[in-house]
Amino acid sequence: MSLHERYRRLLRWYPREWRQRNERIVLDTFAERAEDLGLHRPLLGDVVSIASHGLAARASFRTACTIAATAIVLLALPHLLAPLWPEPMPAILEHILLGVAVPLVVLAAVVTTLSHGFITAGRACTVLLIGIAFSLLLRVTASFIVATDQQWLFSLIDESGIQSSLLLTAGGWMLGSTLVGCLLVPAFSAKLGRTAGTAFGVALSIIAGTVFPYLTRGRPLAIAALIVFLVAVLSAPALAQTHKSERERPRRTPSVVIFVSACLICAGVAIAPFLGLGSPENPDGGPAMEVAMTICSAIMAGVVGRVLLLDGHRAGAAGLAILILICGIHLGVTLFAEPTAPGLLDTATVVLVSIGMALAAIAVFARFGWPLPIWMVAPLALAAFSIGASGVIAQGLPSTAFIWSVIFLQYLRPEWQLGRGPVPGGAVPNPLAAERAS
Amino acid sequence: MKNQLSSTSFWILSALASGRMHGYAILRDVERSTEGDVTLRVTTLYAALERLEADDLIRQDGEQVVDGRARRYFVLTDSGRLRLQESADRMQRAADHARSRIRPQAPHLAPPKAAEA
Repeated sequence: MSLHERYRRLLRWYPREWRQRNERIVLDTFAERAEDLGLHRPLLGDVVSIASHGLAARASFRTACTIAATAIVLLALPHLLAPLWPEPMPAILEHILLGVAVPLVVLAAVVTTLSHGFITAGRACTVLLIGIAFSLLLRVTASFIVATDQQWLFSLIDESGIQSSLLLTAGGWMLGSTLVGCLLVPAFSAKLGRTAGTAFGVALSIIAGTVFPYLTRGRPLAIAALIVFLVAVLSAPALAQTHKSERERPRRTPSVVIFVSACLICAGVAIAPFLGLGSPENPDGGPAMEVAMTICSAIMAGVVGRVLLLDGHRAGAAGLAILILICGIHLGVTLFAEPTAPGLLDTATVVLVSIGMALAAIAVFARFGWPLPIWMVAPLALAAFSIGASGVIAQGLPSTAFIWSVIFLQYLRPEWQLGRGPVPGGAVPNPLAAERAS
Repeated sequence: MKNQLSSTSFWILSALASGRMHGYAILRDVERSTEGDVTLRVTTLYAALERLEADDLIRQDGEQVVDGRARRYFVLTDSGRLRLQESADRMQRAADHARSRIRPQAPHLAPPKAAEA
């Protein structure tokens, strides 16, 4: 194989669009350099550099959203399958699913910051390796502990399980904090200035460190908090880039600050019981927590719904209006009355939440000419159904915040739109893009 | 602090400050100017060129085929020239500050070139 052909094969790490623009130029540059240096094969450093830069070139916000959506589905699967399982679901199955989902979360966060140029390819690879290594270590540890619990192996933990909890908690905290610290602090510092950026990055690191250990417990609220945290991470670039425009933004432009704040409040409410703010009778925090989360969920739905309505997309706005209505009903029931038929109310809630979510997500993409790949429709619909199947609206709504944020962020930055972009001469143009162009 | 050029960007802009250049010429010029201290890989070079172009510090200036090899040329933009000047001024101030602190009573601490002069 000739040297030229070797380099051409290596350049397949880059996406096709990049190769169409640059392959010939880059190959001839490699050839000229190889001739000067007398090379007969690519240097190892060149091979590694091509692979890392090629992968970095493939990083896009769309890719990050796809990865995050896949992670959400995997996280929701145990709760979807649990009612259908004849016996309590084997813990090992849940750990396997979490073991795949957590690295995907790490990957989505890395790709997000890389796609916006906040970090270089080398740093992204380093953070990715650290994050993946930690998550794999956690999974191996968790699997080992499960194996000892099931007595497949000799038991190394005491009856109280304190050792396992400490190990998993410490490992999870390190994973979350390392990921956020390495990725977001320099990104925020670059965009917000050192003081504000460091403060914001450290705050998110602390939240990450608090949330991540509870992944191993598989609690629905913890998973919901993780997803809300993921929303915050994915929203962070929008916040970092638009913070200066918040003061001058037109009235119809959605406020990223409000949206992200609502997401963070949901995350805080979700993890508050684990910080000792709940009670044994109400481990999930009780009515106050549920009210707060319901209100914040309604705010998130309202922010996105208002944009849809102003754009004339009534179907999508109607879907979110259904969700806001459900929030209101749930709020009223929680505060003022006991449900006379709780089973019927829960069932109706599940059905309406699922329908509303699927309607809002799919209809928006279809209406505005952003074709959603068919392989993504199924996971989104599945996520919507599984979240509805969790049975409690306050737990379910924050978990759907990711899907809303995908819709929302596509309005905020036209270049983040999924699919091929608006259909010319057909769909309603993105008003935010028009505002920026003017 | 927010807009400081990286080392790679600085040397690429410095190379282009002397005129229109293609990718490999930039690579050789950087290596020559830094006496081998900075050696760019081809992938690093083109990734940096893309970033600099996205930041409007450089722009493409055509492609030519020379001796059977395709070459893409780049030139410095006005904002790139300004950014390079600002970066050079900052480095000059830092260097002047360091030199002013070197004690005249301890000539053995002075840099060799200053001693030869």
